Amino acid sequence: MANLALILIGWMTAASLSMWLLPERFRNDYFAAVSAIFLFYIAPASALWLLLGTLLVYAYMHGPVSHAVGRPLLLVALFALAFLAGREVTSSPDAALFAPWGEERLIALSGIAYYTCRQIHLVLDFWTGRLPPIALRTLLHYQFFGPTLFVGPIHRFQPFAAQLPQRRFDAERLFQGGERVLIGLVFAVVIGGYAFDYRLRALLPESATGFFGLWLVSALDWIILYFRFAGYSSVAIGLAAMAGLRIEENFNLPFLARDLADFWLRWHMTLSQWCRDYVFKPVLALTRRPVPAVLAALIVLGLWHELSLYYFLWGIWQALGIVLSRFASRRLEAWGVILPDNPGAQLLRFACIFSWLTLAQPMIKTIFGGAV
Amino acid sequence: MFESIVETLPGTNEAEKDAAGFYAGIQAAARAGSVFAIFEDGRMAYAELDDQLRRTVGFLRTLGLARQDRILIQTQYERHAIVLFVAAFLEGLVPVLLSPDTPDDRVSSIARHIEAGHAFIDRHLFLERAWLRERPATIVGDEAPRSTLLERLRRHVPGNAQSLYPGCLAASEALAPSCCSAEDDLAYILFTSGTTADPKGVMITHGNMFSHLATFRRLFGYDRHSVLFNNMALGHADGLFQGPILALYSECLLYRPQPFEMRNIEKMFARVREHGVTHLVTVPTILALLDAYTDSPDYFSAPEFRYLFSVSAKLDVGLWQRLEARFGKPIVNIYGLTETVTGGLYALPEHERRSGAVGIPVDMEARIDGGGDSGELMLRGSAVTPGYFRNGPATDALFVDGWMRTGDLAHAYADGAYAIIGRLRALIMCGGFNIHPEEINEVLMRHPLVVEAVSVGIEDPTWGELPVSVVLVSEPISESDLATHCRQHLEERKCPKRILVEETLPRGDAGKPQLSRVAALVRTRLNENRASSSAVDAEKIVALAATVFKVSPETLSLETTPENTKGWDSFSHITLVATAEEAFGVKIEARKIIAMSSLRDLFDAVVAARALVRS
Repeated sequence: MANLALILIGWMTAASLSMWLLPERFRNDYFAAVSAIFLFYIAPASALWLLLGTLLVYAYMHGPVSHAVGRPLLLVALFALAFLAGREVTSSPDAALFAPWGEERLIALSGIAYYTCRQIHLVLDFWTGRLPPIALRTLLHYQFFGPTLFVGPIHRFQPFAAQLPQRRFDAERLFQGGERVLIGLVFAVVIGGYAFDYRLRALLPESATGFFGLWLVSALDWIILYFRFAGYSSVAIGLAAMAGLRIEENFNLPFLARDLADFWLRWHMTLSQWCRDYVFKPVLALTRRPVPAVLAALIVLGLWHELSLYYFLWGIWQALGIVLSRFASRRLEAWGVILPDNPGAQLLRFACIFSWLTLAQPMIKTIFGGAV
Repeated sequence: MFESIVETLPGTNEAEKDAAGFYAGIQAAARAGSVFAIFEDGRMAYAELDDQLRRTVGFLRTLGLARQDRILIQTQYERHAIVLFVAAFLEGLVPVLLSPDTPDDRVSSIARHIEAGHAFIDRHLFLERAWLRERPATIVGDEAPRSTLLERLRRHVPGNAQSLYPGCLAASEALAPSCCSAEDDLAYILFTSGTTADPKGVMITHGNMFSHLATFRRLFGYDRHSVLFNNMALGHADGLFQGPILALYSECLLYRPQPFEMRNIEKMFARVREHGVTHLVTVPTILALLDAYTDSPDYFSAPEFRYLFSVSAKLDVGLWQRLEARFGKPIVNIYGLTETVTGGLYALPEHERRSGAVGIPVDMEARIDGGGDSGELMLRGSAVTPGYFRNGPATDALFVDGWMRTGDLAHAYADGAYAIIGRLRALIMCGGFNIHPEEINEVLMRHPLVVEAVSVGIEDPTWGELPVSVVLVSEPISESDLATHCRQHLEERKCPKRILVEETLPRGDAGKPQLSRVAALVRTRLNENRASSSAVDAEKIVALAATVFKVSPETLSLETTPENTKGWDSFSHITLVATAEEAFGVKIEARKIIAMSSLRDLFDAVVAARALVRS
């Protein structure tokens, strides 16, 4: 029962080791080519769309110079629509990884949730002047980077490209990367998959449907999601390290968050930072008002997971949380209430954060009932 | 604690080399097929270096020079400069290497002062210098120069020019250098201080150089597997000694990429890994830029990387600790002067990072003048220069009872470490280069309308200090005219950043301008300028940000980013933009607000918006 994750790990490890046999100037090409072959083999439609999208980005960067918003907006809309349409065939961003080998329906457009974000990042960074026009070869090295193709992180171009020329064989990094992959697998498969999803879920009553039942299920879902997702992120980061590159972290001890906004900068960081830079900031810059900007960012964050009314409401709920928690901390500050910096206070903080996060499911389902 | 570290180091006598050993090392590396250097334009193998050295020796022997004759070298071709320099000192001659941008009148004054037996000078410099025509000289340049018709006609003028180096080597015999120098013979002379009227050439003997090389090799483990990254100017002690000389002595690889600039800084540090660098030598200014503008924790993480050196200027303790924490590798501060070859006091990784502490003396005796805790730092040891070339008064002033005065005020700690707390010499230290204010003053005074000129160093967070001059003039003249004048007669980095025209100067009892009060005057003037102009200025941006983020302005600078500022979250971002827009009466484009990731970005956006409003 081989699953995609294990095959990916094997394939990428082989690529990471064999690339050093080649002359230096071909290594980056080789690694991208090996990644591309893998994607073409398991999800040809996805690979073709990624290639086409990369060519469009390239054409935009090397086309006539203009600060007008028209072309970037058109490209962003195209990428976003393709992604939403792709949702019809790929049910969730992580489906591919959890799917048994051979379930083509689930993996037809695998990776699209991640590379769409990378394409939009390239377009908007170029438009805002944070990126120069980039050579097609380098764009392909970036987009066809096997370790992060299927489950992120949504790594950025700048730090990635800066490392390409200094890629070299480094035994220490290779072993550290391997270690990271193994730890990631333990997190995702043993703790998240077996212990929580398989064993612990079985202990829940069959009919956990009341408000508190739903809340309990929701809390368990979040914990499982943490272990699975942080685990697979570790696998990706480890594979990247084995290939000689350092990729952004995706989780930064989310239980140490000080408020909801801080939580989102520690949880699936590359996605929430992406939402901050490419949804929140543009909306903020255009409207000059923070509340609509937070709302837009969190709704996009929700819809990224699934195009549904439920996730739309989920986004509003999380945005409401951030606005309320900011309002509350302002009030507390004005009244001179300062929470001390000790483990007890942090536990209290996190209890509040976790309650709000997990309340989304029971609240939405209870209020809207069958409509969602 | 520090004594014990020094005691555990192996003795100095072990494997010490002299000129003969130095050359034998080059030959051994050549036989082993090692690469000597990677320059921006390609590699140079030890075998190629050896061949060029021997042919250069053959060429030098045809010039009829006597032992210890001075050879002037001024070329932008680094590989030729290195070969000429090494061939000359191995042959018992005294090379004098000058930066390619040394102005003409200074070069000519130095050439006269040292009575150069021969000069090796770039073509374009050669053609411009009438004084060279009276001297034996060789043009340095690559074969088959693309000369214009005018140049070809003018080429007949320098009749004394022997030939073109290295083209002339094809016809010369390859001979082993004599390597017969005594310990007190001069190895080289460096002119990094003094003025055109009073040149001060620091004499470095073979004894100085080889004892210092042994110290470096012992302290920092240089060997044939080392890869030394040093792209500092060859005309300076730190670029020359801790560069090619140390690399050749250790038979290792020297990596000399182009000099650091703002836009390439990230790329340059990325090459540390690529080339397997083990030792990197740079100045605090570059480290400050590394700290402010890059964020990879990864430049020095390769297992072979051993030491990051900070030389030439004071390393801020905060910067020191931040970078050591970020990279997890020690930064070794080296304190020394051209007069001590290059080092003297070293802050090794084991040492405590104390404010102002520059290190402990190794193979060098140090004491405080007068014997107290604080006072002028005095040094004595095998690496200390015998003095300035043919300059008795300056040499006499340098020594007191056999101890060399450093001109730095120091504090001695009980454990043997020293901190530099001030400076006795009038010296401006800007980005790792020493600028002698007299040199600027001398140039300004040469302008027909300037009556008097005083130059001082004004503190700057990135550069350490920036040179600013104050002048009295006989007729009104603009600052830009004076600046143009300076650029014609001074190296770019020595030109004052501002030249203020004043009515009077604050003077002491003897009528001499008082430097501390001149500096205070300059600060006041610069502040007045800021306050009176409606121009967008950094301080105002920082002040606005401080009110928005509710922090003290001292904690902010243009380099402030959301990552290093507590109050700068996604919400206050827009408040900051709106506040700045209101304060400066501009409207900032949406795409700039999105891209903004530091106060400098805000500053640039406001400046650009202002320009738009005006046009």
